[in-house]
Amino acid sequence: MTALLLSPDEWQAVRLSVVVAFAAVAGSLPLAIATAWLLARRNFRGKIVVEMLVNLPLVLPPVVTGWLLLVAFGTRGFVGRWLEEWLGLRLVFDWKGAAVASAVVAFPLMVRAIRVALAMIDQDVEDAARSLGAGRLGTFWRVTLPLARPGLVAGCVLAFARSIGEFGATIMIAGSIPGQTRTIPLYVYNVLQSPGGGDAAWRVVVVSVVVSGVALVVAQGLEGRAGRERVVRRGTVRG
Amino acid sequence: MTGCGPRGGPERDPPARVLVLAAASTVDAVEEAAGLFAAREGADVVVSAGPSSGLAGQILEGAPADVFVSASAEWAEVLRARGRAAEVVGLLGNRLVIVVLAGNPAGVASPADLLGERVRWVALAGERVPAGVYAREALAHAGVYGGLVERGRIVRGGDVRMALAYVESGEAQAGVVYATDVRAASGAGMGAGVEVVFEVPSDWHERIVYPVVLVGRGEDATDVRREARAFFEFLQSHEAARVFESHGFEVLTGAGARRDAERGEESNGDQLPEQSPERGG
Repeated sequence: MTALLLSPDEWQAVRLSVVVAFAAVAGSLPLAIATAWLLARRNFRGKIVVEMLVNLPLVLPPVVTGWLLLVAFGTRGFVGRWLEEWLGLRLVFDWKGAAVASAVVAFPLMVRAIRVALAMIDQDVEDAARSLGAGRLGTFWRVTLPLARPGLVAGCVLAFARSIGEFGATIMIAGSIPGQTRTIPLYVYNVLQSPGGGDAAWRVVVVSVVVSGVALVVAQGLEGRAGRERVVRRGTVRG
Repeated sequence: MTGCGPRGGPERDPPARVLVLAAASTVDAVEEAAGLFAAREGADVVVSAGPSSGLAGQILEGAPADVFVSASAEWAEVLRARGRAAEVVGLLGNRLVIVVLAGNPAGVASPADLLGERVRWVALAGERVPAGVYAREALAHAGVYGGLVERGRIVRGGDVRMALAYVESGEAQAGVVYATDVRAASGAGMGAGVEVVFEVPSDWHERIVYPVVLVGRGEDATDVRREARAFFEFLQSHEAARVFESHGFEVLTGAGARRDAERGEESNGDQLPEQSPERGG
C-alpha cells in the first residue's frame, strides 16, 4: 500500500534499486556457482587465497571497495579501459557501475549460501547418476544444481537484499545521479542531508525495510527447507 | 551527562573532556585548534567528524556534545529552534573553486567551458549539502547550470570531498568544491592530481558561513559546562584564527570582528543572526 503513495522521485529510486539488484544477482550468479563449487568440492593450492578474496568485500569498508572498483573500472583503470575499448562499456557514473558494485559486495553472501547447499548434497546420488551413464556436466545440471536449488535461491535472495542496501561502493563508482544511479540508499542519504528530511524519507525507508525484511525471511525459509529435505533424503537413501 | 559529582565542590575536577563535533570539511583545522587548546588548558578535547546533517542529528538525539562546528547555517538554526544551542556564532567563511585534473585535459578555464565538448561530467556535492547548494547557485549565476542539467553532465558526490575524489580519479573532468578541500587534499599528498582553474566570485552565491554552536546540555540550553564555553571562545580567538586562516578559511569572527558584532555594528542582514544570551559575568 505504501508503495502506491510514493512520489515520482521515490518510485524512480525504488525501481532503479530493483533493476540494479536484479542485474547484480543475474550477472554474478554463474560466477558464484562456479566459485561455490570450487570451494565446496575441490582442494587446491591457494584455495585459502581464493576464499579470502571472495570474502573480502564482506569485511572491507564499502567505500574502500568502491574506491578500488573506481580505480580498476574507471576510464583510466586497467579493466575499465579494456571494457571500453572492446565492448564499448562504461561503468563509472552509470547504473551498470552500480550493479557491479552491488554484485561485488553481495558476492560473498551468494557464494556462501550456494557453497553450503553444494556441500550438503549427498555425493552418492551424483555417483549413482554417473554410474548410470550421465556425464560430468549432465550430472551437474540435472542432479547437483536441482538438489542445491534451495541454497541457490537463498543465495540469490540474500544477494538481492544486500544489493538493495548497497551504499558506500555504489556512490564511489556510480555517483549520485537522480534517475540513473540514485538507488534507495543514496536517495535516503541525500534527503536526510537537509533539516526535515526524515519526514520526506520515511516512505522509502519503509519500502527499504519491507523489501529487505521479506528477503531475509524468504532466504531463511529456504535454508530451513533445504535442511529438512536433506534429512528426508538421507532417510530414503539409507533407510 | 557523565556521573556528575556534587556541584560546587573543589574547583580542580579531573581534566574535563570537551566533545567537539566538526563538519568534515573543517576537521583538520578544528583538530589543530583543539590541540593548541588542549595543550594550554590541560583539557581533553575530542573531535568527531561527519556531515553536518549527521552531527546535528546526533546532538538532537542527545549526544553529549559541547561544541558543534557546522558547515550549514540551516542545521545550526535547527539546533537553536529545538533548544539545544546556548549560543551560535558565524565563525568561518570559505570560497568555491573549479578544479580539474592536473594538466587540465578538458581545457576548462571558466564556468562557460563546462558546457564544452570535452567535458562529460561535472562533479558537485549533493544538492542538499551546503557545498552542493552554493555550487548550484554559482553555476546558475554564471548561466551554465541549466545547460549542464540538460546535457546530463552533473554527478553528485555524497559530500564535497567525494566530488573532489571524482575529479582526482579523472572520471569527472571538472568539479566545484571548497578552496579549503583542495588545500587539505594536497596537504595529504592526495590533491597533487588536481588544479584550481577558476575562483568563484563570492557574490555568485549565498555567503558561505560555518557557524559554531555552543551546545547546551540536557533540558536547559543555557546549561553549559565551563570547559565547553572556554573552547567555544577559544575558537574565536586570534590564535585559533591563525590556524583557520592557515587552512584557507576566512575568519568571520576574529576577536576584532566579535567585538564589532557585540557593539551591534555588524548587521548586513544575513541568515545567521547572532544570539548572545546574558552571560552574567
